[in-house]
Amino acid sequence: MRRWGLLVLLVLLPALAFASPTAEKPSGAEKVLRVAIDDFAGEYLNPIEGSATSRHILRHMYDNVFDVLKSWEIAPDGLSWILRMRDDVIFHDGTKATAKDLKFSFEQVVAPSSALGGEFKKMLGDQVKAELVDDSTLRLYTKGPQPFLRAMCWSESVYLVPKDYIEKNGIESFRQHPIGTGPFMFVQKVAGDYMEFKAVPAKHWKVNPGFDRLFVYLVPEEGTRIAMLQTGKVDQIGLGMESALELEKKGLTIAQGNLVEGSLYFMHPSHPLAQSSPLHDIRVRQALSLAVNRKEIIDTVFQGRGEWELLTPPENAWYSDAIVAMGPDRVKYWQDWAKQNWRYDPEEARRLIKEAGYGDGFDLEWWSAPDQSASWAQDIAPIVAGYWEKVGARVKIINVDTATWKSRRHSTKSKDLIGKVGGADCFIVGEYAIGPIPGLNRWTTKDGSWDLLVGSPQQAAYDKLWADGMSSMDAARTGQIMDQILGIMLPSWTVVPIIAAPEFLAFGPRIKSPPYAKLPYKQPCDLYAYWQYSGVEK
Amino acid sequence: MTRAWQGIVALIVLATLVFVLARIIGNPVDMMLGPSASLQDAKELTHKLGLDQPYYVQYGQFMWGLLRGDVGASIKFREPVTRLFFQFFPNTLKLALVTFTIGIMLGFALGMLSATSKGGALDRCARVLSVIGMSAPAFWIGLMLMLVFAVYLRLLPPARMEGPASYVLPALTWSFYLLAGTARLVRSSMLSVMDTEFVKLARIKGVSESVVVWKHSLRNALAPVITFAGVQLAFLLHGSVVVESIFAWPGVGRLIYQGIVGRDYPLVQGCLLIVGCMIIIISILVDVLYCLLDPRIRLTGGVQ
Repeated sequence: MRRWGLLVLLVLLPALAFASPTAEKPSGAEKVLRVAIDDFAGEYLNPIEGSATSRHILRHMYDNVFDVLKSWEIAPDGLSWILRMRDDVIFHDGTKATAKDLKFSFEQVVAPSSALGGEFKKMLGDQVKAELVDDSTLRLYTKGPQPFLRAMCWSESVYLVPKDYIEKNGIESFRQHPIGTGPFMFVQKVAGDYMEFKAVPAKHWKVNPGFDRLFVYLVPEEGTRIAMLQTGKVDQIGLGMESALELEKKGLTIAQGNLVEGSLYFMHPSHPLAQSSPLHDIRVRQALSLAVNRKEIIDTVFQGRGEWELLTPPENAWYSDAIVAMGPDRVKYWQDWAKQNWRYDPEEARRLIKEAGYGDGFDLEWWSAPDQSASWAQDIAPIVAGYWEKVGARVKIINVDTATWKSRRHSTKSKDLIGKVGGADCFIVGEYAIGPIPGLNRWTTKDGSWDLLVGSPQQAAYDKLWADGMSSMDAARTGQIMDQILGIMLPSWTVVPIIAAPEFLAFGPRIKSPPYAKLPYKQPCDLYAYWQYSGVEK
Repeated sequence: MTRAWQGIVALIVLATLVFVLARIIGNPVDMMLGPSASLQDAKELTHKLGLDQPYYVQYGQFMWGLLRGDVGASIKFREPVTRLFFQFFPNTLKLALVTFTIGIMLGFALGMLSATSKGGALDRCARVLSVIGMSAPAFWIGLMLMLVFAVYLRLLPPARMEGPASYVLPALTWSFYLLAGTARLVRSSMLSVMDTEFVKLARIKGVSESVVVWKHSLRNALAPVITFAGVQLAFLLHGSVVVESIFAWPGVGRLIYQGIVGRDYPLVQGCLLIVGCMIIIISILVDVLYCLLDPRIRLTGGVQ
């Protein structure tokens, strides 16, 4: 009897499994786009609590605080901004967005719950000082002249959030049912599985969404994403270079996104603890750059789809403006400098290494980490190491995860990376193809998130230049400062740009005409922006 | 009662281990902060999360929370860990039950066929299959099954939890190891029982072969198999990072993995502790079942 009982139990167990199937069922009349991505990053859709959640998702639900303005101006003394809101910005609950919401959004940025970074506290102070001029106008006071507030809000994704809604319902409710002013509104989210959005019912001031509903599935494995695309379970996936080229041969539509630039870092080479490292010698660092055939990497690994000569600054960062302010002559000077110095010259590399006293070869440790912006970041490490080995370096690559890499980048947090190679860190290349400044930003100042120049006599001057540059109201002066910054960082050979290569998207057969597929690759496109515009065939 | 006390001690040890191991993997602060965050930001967030306190203080708070049934809130998801766990756990449980059933039933059938045709072609095939099942990596099996049954034949969905058909591929992938292990154990256990004097006597007395196999041999060969199955069921309950990742299955294994990647201490600690509790409870239940199946065994004294 007991035996039969056991048997029945065994048969019933799987039946229980199907008792509550989960499945979201879009209505058949709607235009639906189903996208599979590899990581949601943070799983909360509350932008004020952190920037971890994928911007690809947040940007569709929310509008940037500067996006919703019809005009803005900075006072001549640089100590305040007048921000005038558009009249047609509506939250997803139907309420009109006003200057009160704008003020509230800035307040959240510097609130203790915010993880957006202390740069805003430097700009706005610990408490936001602002006055409501009228319903749609805000005067925002800053801590000292802050001409780059707008650029910072862009680069750090500061979004407009609803004051009344959050204050009335509480932050926990906002986490569960977030609302923004973007073209898509939140429907539901199943943690670790998928998120669902639908287009706003009324015409959005910015775009007219090309489809009614959007599902974003979390599918970490690339092979699985490809299988889902091939079987019509999703319409669009992100994928690596190799798979993209293979699928292209099979007739699937492939689109290329923004160029993403990858740089390597010689970590804290001037730190006292790095004195025994070959990287302490600037000639070795320069030689390692000369040893890499960047063009060959682009031509072979990326089949010509990338850049190596003119690496460009990250999108929307304030120093894009600063580089423009340098003027065309100085920009050209640094572009020529880059062409000359980032060339492939293994003979010169060997000579420099010999001159530095490492003619018999030397050991290098490279902590290689993945980067969310570029799936190829870790793949190029063995290729670059191969070039280095030809000039005498014996490279040991240690693959680490992002958290390990980030937690050791600053010399005061960990000594593990001092005198070693780190990265690659990748940045989306901006639309201004004007100058070479890979990984060059204020994060490398002493109190930034990694202090590359620590121990160098130039660290203090470098930090001061960034501080001055951020508060300079004079464009000409800003340009000079940027010129000086480049003059310190680039010849220090602390940061070595390698390549800029694209990320890829593949589209399923349901999408008849992906909007960016026909664009030439050099024209950068935002991988996910077309969600808002594309016409998806049912 | 003794088992219950042992379980409590095991839980305290587990909680301590989990606390220590979670901190060895690193710090969540760097993952939470934006790229422009300064050292000061990192310090402030570390303070806010209470991670700047001495380890013994953190440990004390953690254990006090456990006593109150509070394992904390996830940093990555911004939700209580218990709520998250029990949101993901049903998905793992459903898949685990299907996997368990497939693995045990097929394993049993294979093991019995193998034992009753010892040395024959069937036995050899079953043994080869068992070796493959024990040694082939799950990610390879999973991708191959997906390629054949989803991409080429279009018979089954490739991934995600979308109705009954979506269980087949992940459950098959996950059950391979269980199937192989069960088959090997049933075979060896059956063979040893079939070689005993009482089975020989039954045959001499003219008892039919099916009765010899089903009633006398299988019943007596069950005990080690049940122990194995119990341990495997407990093992299945904490999910499979590999299977859940390959098939985009929102289960506990993937949740724990996400916690580890994001250095989400509370998430890792909470999930491991809850899973640990479950495993301890299942172990106790298996002991009880073992005792019921074989009355000679007493929980405290072993075989009398």
